[in-house]
Amino acid sequence: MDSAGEPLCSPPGQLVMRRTSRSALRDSAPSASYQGVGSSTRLSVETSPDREQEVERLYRTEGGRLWRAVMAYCGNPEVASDAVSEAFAQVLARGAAVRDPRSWLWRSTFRIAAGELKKGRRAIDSPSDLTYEMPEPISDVLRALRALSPKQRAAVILHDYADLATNDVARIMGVSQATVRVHVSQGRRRLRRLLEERDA
Amino acid sequence: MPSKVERLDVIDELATPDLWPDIRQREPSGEPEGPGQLLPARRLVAAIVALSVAAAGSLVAVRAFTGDEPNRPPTAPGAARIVFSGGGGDAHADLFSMNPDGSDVRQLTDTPGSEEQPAPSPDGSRLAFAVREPGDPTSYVIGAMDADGANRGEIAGTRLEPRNPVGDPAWSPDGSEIAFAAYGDGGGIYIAGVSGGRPRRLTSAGPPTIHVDSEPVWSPNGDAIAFIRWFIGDSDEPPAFEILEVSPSGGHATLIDRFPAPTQGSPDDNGEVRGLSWSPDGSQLAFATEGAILTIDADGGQPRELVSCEELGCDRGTDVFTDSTTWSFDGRRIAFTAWVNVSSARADPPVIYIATVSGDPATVTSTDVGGLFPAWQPVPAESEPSPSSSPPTILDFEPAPGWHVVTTDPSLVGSLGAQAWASNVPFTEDEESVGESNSFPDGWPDKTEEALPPDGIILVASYSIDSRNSLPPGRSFPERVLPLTIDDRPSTAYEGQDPDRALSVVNATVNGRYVSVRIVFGTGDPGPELVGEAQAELGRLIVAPPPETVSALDDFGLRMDLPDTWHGILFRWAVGEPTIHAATVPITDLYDGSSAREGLGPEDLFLVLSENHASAIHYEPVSLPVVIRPEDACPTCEILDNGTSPPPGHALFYRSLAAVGRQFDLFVEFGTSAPSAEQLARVNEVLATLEIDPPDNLPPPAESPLVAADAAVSVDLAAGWIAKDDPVPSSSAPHVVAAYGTWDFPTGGNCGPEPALGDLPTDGALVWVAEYADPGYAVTSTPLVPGSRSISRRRRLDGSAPPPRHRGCTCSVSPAASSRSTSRSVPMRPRRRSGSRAASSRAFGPSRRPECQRPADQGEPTSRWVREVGLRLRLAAERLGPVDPQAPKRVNAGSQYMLAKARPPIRSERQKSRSLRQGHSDGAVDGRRGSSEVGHIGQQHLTVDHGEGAGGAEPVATPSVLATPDRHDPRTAPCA
Repeated sequence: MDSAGEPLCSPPGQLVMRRTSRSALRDSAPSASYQGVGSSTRLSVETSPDREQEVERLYRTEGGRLWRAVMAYCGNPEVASDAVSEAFAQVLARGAAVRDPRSWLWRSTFRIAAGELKKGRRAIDSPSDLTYEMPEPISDVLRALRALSPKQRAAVILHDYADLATNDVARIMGVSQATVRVHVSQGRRRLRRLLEERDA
Repeated sequence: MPSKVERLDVIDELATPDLWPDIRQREPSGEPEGPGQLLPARRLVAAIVALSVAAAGSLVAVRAFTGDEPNRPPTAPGAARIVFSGGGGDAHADLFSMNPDGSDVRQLTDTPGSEEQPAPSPDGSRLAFAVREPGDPTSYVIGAMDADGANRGEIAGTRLEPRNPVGDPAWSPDGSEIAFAAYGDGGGIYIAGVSGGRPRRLTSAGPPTIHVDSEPVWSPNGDAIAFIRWFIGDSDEPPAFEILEVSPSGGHATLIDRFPAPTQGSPDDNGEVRGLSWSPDGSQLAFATEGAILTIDADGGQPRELVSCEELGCDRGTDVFTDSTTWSFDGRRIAFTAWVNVSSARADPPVIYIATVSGDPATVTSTDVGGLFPAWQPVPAESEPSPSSSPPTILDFEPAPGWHVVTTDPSLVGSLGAQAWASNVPFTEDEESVGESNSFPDGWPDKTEEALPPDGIILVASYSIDSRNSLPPGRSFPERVLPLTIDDRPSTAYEGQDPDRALSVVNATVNGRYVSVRIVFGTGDPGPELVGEAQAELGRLIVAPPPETVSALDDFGLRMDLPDTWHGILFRWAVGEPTIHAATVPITDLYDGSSAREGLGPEDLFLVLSENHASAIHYEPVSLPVVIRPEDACPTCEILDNGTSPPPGHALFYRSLAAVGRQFDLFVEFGTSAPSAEQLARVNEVLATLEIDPPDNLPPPAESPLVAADAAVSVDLAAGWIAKDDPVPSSSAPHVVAAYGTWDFPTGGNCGPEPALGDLPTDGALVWVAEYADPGYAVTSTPLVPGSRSISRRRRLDGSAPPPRHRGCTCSVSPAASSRSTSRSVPMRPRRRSGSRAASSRAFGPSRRPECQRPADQGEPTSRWVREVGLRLRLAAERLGPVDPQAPKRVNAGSQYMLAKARPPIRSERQKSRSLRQGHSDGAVDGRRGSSEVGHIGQQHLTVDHGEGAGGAEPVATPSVLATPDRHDPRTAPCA
């Protein structure tokens, strides 16, 4: 019984724990990625073909909805495209350092778009600025969304359109879950009223 | 909360560009990462790297979590842990806990749903948390479970009608209630009883007052609840965040402080106040806002900045999101979550930090563990060793999600040895209740095993030996360190094993303790994944630290001084009696010392002194010092009846001794066949140092509830038969318990029934009952006495044939004789005998193979036979005289254990589960656990000898009571 045969399996890995451990990030990221710290504006992580395939798959499954969500959020297709492209490009560049690309992409895309809006670089002042052609029902909804505060808008879009959980929305928005719920609640109420007004 | 606006779905109809070509070409802009603008997360990494060479700044990782230390001793007394929700941003958050330094991270839940905001009960034994079921984003309720993840349920009172999302649970200091926040139209702060009942509402949110209440926290004395109110603003007042206090019984909420909130609609409303917690002394509140951690007196006043946003990195062009403060119980540290660089595309997951409150300025360290909602958790009382009341748990498994663990009641460990069971299916209720049923050596989750699904796994870990001497490595118990690994493939090849229950066995000496783990799979062919799962759980085995070892032989009320050149160990099997092994050669195993004995040179010797609680044997009263005399030589003796007489060229001496109210077997084996007087004197010098304490602190000898000591073996004899009870009182193997003959046979002698057999008349028959450690050995293929003929040496008492594989050992039985002998059964009542301790010397080890004529390929020949005979005898005994249910089911430290030890890990079909579970501990049969006679029964053996020409005059031992039909066809008798 105590034969010293080959173990059937390696000692238990701590994958579970690594999910919460930043050290896992260090473990998994090539050390080269840190040599660039302080000296480069780019991370020097090579993008492997596998990684690119994986990211492309993610783009094909998630990119469209992400783009539409951020488009609904910022109202500007250019900003939306830029944010989505930048976020995906970052994921490609960061390689394995991004452990949960999907969450990361949602967070980053919205943050980039929010940053653009905040900077006012490409903010849209009125719905008439919309050059993007879209069917009227959609533009109605987008216009109504634009009447919400950015936080309400983000919360409603992420929670109700993108079907993200409150905790995910909270992480994307950088607020507590309680705040998300409030934003969602108020945003819904306001959105409904706006749409009803418009229909009337 | 208003329901979702369905029209949002039209967004799906937006024409969406394909950006992939652009993405592939795109040069990510990234933020400049000049030296002065290190992002905190990266700076953190750099700090960790630099830690060994330079004084780190205020923001250093105190410990990089290493995942390769899964096994730690149970948390030290008085220690606390931090529970938190993690999941790395996954949609389904799970709960974890860790030591405050970030070490020993354990996952507590693993569900497709989401568990967040853990709130430990005041004693740390339970956790309340916010739950969201998968696929239903609004299904927030408050769940609760044990600190290890077991006994999960829902706090009924938190399910509001109409349905509102709820969260932010907080346990009241008396543990009876949980405060929580509800959102939406029925929102507000509520309190629900832990054990049910309708919740009561303390505050209400929403119209007409436009505010949202969240994060209730109890004051340490339980007479106030602080919470955060987000005043959303109206035409009269700008929005603000407020910290308020309300009595748990309701009433008006009083303001502690108010913070103006950024105007609604600002893209950045990080003025939010969140993560409220009360200091353990009730004097202060801590909270998070704008990337910093602040404290404020509980009665108001000016907030103080404990941790600044800059300290966390927001002076470097990043922003910081802080949340979820929680105080350590000494009030000296505050754990919180910080998410640095939160607005950047580079945001990393939130990490739990620790701020030390005492000292100025506060020191901030990162635990290096990602997570949200940290909460300081008292280590549950039951896992705190309390030296006065309960001994430490010797074996345990670290809690893991989906696994259930049962451990021996610590109060039983001292007398019974310890077990720890783990299974990925729940144990049945009765098997979970702590008691002897899950104690060593009898404990085995029979019912759970029976119902084990194909993907089910059970681990049974047993601790078996008690010694403060350092244990020699045993042949089957190599020294190992945790985590143990499954070295042998799960097998169903054990004899008689259920083909649907593969078994792996791991034996190891861990922390100076012999530990045996049996791993049962619910399938006969577990895949690598299942084996991996079992391996992972095996990796969570906890073995108590080594006992404080002593080199002197001084324990259990026994002392013996050894010369420097001798080796010795004094130990006690967990369910056994103290034993001394002493030798002039190194002792390398504890089974029977055989590996040491084999290496004895002519001048060497090996001494075994083993206490025996058996009461039915005649022990020779001696006064100390005891000596070995030339007349004690017993060539046919076996050390502890282990089935092996000394090899040619060795001499074995045996004495039984009763001294100071205790009984011992003393064996001395010499590496020469004729030890000199000097050699004997040498031994006697050592024996002269033997001191024996009176047995007052030892358990009294257990009386068998089955038979009185004088009952021995009894048979309803037909006319013409003579019974002579215990004719060979002090013999060694074979221990004749009783003999029945057709003539007035002589008794006595030292080594067996030879005197009687020598006089066996041609028309006579002798039935004798003896105990063997190993019938395969003890019953030889040659008649004991020339001219006599053994007609049944290995009869099963129900009349069926011995297993074919044993034929090689029974070939002296002729078919004709067999046909007679097997037609009857001899009712017999077993009694406890000293010989029952026989096999202890082989404890855990591979049994010595008997020297009988047995084809080499027949595998394990003997112990199964012992078992089966034992079983039959036991069944017979039950028919003869059922155990008095009122009789105390005591565990004799001796005999029961012995059979267990005698048994190598093979199993017959009907004993599958028991042998699986016991392997080395087979004392329990058919639920008769804890009774002392079983093992000893198992070693009794029935032999019938006939005189020459007995063919026409059958022995007439009457099958009076044991009326088992003879299912055996003599024409197919073995060894034809």
